[in-house]
Amino acid sequence: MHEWKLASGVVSSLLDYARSRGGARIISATVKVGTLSMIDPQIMREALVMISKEAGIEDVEFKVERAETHFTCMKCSTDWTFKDVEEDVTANVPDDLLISDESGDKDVPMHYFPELVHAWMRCPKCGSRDYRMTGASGVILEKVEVEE
Amino acid sequence: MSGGALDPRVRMAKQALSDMDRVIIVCSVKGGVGKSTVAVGLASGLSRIGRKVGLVDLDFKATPIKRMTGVSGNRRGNRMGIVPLIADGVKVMSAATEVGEKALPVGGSEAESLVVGFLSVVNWGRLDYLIADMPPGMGEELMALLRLAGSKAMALLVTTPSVLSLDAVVRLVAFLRGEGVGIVGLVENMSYITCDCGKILRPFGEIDEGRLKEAGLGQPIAKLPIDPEVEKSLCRGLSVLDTPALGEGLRRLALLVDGSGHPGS
Repeated sequence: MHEWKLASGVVSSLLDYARSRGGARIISATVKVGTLSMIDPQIMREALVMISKEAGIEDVEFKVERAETHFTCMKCSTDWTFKDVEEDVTANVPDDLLISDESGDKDVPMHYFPELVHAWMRCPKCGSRDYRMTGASGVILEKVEVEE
Repeated sequence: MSGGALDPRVRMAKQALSDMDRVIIVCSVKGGVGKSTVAVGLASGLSRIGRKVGLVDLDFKATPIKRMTGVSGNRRGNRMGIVPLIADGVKVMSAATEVGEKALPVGGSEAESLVVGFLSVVNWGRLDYLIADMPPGMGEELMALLRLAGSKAMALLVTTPSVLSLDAVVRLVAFLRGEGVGIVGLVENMSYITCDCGKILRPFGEIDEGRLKEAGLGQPIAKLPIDPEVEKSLCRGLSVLDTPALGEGLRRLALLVDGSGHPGS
């Protein structure tokens, strides 16, 4: 549910950007959502639309796209994506570490802090935990189009 | 968009830190000198005199703060982010509450990103003090926090009297001054132990005051004893503030820090 907080951060960043461009009107914004964060793009888009309206920039077109989170093992050079291992990794998180939201749903800690995946995920080939993350893990404001 | 993709949490973290009166970074380059003890004691001490305090554990590999504060309870999130757990009136965030007993081998840009996450996604609210317990060294966690906190950041240095620890602190001071970070002061931990017979012993010797002067540090603002009761209190889930000898020193440190406004050099 912290999609709303993140969306607020995106809108504030957009306002900063518009100010840095002399108050230019924002036409569109592209937001990437990393699969590791398990953030719902639909909720994110709804939150962006609502919060941007409240901020007085209601005609921005928001494009919210899911982006795969990639990993590379530093030991055996295997590449994989979070989608490849998501089921196994989330099943490794014990119930007492799940985080409850307002509606009673429970999320794994990676939903809030994607980097915590290092506690539960291993290289699917060699089992090492020495790997690097590439690509989007959380929410990224990737592109902003402004009226020139 | 100039400058490439943007992480909105960076702005959120800066905003969150701007709602805090003071950000005190408890740091040293050497490990095992008592940073976490000082951080927890300072946070609890400030809370007990009525200040609104947050304590963030940025030592992701050792994550000592959960055990030291005894913080526990169900973790909840809402539209405003993660609700921090409370111990001794202090809002606490530690990776240990998220990953339990698991090791967290996170480094490089991912450690920086986790710092941003702990400061942006956690709903800290307005605080008088955010105390940051750092890992040893001048790594990604420290750099990330300094970037985010800007002029709010003040360093509280911790050392033992050992020349090795002091060497490292002198380097850290030079680095921090170069970055424009104010220094709250130096805490000399493990300074002495009081024998049952009343005699004071200094197992690490006397701190080199000439060296402190050369580094522009002046006298330590606190000299904390070795207190054998600390280990027992940790195992019983008690606050270090309630240990007989060390607790008194930490309470005095909290009063000193609180009364000092924005000291620095």
